[in-house]
Amino acid sequence: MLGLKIEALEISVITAGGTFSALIPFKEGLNIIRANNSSGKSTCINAIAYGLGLEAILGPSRKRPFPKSLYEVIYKNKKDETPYFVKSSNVRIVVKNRNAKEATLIRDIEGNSNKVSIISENKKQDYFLGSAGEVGSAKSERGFHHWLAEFIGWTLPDVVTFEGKETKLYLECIFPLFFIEQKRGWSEIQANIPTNYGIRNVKKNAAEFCLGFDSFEQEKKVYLLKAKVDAAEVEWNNIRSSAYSIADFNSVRVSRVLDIEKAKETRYINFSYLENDIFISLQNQAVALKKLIGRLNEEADERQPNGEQIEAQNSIIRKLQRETENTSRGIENALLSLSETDKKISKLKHDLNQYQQLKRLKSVGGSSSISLDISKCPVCDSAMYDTLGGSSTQRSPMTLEENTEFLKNQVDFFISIKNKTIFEIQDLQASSKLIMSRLGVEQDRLNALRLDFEDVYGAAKSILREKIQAEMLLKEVERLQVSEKDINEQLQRIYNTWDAASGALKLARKNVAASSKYVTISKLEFIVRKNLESFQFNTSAINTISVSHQTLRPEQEGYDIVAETSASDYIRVIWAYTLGLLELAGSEEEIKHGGFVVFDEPRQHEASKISFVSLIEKAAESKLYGGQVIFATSMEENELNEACVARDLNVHFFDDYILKLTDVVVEDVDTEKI
Amino acid sequence: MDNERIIRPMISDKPYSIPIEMRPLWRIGLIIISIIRVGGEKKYLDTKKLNILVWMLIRKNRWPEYEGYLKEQVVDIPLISVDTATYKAAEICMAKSLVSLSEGRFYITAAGEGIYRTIVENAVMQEELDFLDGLGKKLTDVKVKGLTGGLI
Repeated sequence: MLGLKIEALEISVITAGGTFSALIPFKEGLNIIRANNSSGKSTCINAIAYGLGLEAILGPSRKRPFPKSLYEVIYKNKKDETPYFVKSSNVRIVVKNRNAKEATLIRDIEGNSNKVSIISENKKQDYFLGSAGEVGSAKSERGFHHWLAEFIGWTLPDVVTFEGKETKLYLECIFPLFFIEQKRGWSEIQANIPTNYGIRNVKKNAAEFCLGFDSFEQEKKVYLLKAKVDAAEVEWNNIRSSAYSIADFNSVRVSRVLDIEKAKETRYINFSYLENDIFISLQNQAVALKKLIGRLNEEADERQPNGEQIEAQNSIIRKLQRETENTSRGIENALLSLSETDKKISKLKHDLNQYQQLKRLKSVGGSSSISLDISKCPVCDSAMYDTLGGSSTQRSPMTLEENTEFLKNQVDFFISIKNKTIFEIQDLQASSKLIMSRLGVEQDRLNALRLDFEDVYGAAKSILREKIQAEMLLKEVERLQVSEKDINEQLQRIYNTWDAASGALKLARKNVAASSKYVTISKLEFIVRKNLESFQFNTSAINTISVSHQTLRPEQEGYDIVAETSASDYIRVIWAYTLGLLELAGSEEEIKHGGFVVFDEPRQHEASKISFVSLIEKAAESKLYGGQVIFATSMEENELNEACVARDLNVHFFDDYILKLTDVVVEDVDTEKI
Repeated sequence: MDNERIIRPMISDKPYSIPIEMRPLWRIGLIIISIIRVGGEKKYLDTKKLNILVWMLIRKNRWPEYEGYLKEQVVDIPLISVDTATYKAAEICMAKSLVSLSEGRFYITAAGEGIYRTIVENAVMQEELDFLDGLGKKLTDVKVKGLTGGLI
């Protein structure tokens, strides 16, 4: 689908002494503007972009891409340099869309440049450019770019920025595919794509839009889902560390929370108390405490602590002390093993380093004249298998490479053992802390029992104390239950979000990879190669040129084409690709093309005359499929005439400045004064 | 009895890993750097000294012990013994004309110096070179006698 056709371009400069203007009509097929340097060719080319509000595609800092003659002072002609001071100036472009609807766009150069007036069907309407408040020109209904996209028949897709936000794929990002300006345009395909919008993969997105792929919808989905998955993982880790902190603070054990991707089976935590050598869940602890409090309330008989109770308490403490010793021994053993593992890793790394040195020596030695091959004994000629040891068995030692790889594996293996030991130590330290805190509680209880045993009111005090302690602990347990429930709910919620998002992410990635863009890319590739052949591109290299499925730009054997080809060959690639897109859009409805291609000084880097003639021929063919190509060149008139002979072209030759004084103002004579 | 386990021996003909010092090229490298760094201008080294230095170079974990002895900080004599692998490596060096043997001394050849340059230019055996620079000259004939008991 070819979006637009430029019918005419008019530049007007109004001065006190009259109006300078240039009117250039354009037709389907090839249009050439020929003039000498500094005559205003680039002004005309830039005026097309400017008139369409797309001056950003002319390169950075090109807000007003014109010489001073359009906004300060203009000279009459090359021979008569009488200055005329500019009062106002504007660009007027007549465009036609694919439905043959015509519109005239008028934009001031000197004047109000943020407004474009559109005259269509005898109605005039003003639209704004840039941004008006928070809404930009592409989004607002009164924005010029919104109007232009609609006029072309495009719905600009939403894409994702580097910050993960949605934004429109602006027209300025798409048109560099069709518009090659003189200064930077020939350095690269899509050289002047603006990056200030912070759009991810902006070049690829623009090419995908042009080629009619809907995968940016998919890609946007991928990025958004990825952001969701990442956020869920961060939240999961935060909740996990808060659960560990709560456990640490309350001297309870918490079950280990796995990483979110491994948490399919268990995504709940539970806190547990260590009581008499076993771990009791919060629920059981609460039930037991309630039972105890009830029993203490009902206990009518006075109860004097007796020797048996004290003895029982003593045995609890002894047991806990034994456990403490065991845990400490466990920690010591684990620390010892850690230190041994560290030593082993350090030794293995040293060995590996020496093996790498030997490999280096052998490879360097191999390239020098000295023979370092020691596979055979130079004395007795028997096989040495690269070892100084005896070879009494059939087994041979590893080669240098195998041995190096073996040592690498050993290093990895011992590092994994080290990590496991570190985990073990952490677990043991947590257990030790729990046992110590339990020991403290039991020790206090024993002391209290001993005091009560010696006290007359010991029984009542003992019951009261036990009750208060039980009630306080119950409160703590209930609080922990709330935390546990809350954490588990959060973990469940995060997991559900993560699970849904990561499932969708996998699917979305699959969809992006499997879209039906292959046919379109092959068609484009075919046209590009055919064009390159016409432009005398090195024949043997043509088959190595392809259109990348990743970047959608031409590449050579999978490498960036800029680095691989000569400058003049690269110019040919730009011609071939840009005209290829136009030709493809001429026949394929789903290709979204601006409808015209602009080349400012296409004969760059002294591309041979023959290939330039072929370019003119190829560009002229665009008439067959309704495309439009505009060249601006300073080529010698004779040479150009020769190249254009017998072709149906629209050529505009200019010998002087393109802008001419057309409407002279005769100064008013003040008759009254006379 | 609880700790007892049944162990099944596995017999395999898979290639096995060997320590770096059993690689001929590594030991040849050690011989060459020893002769050049300790022999200095003379470009030769006594065979006994060479055997001892190579023995020391391949036992990095004992370097503090050797340093103590060579600097006369301790009186204990470290264990040094016969290493046939060094003999083999020396034979290879001679067969490949990297060194030549004359009157109980190994002389470095031009080819040997070529390998030495390759070693230094490619930053190979840096630790070993540093060890030789620091302690090589301290291995006097008296110390050799002390270490070997006059046996070799």
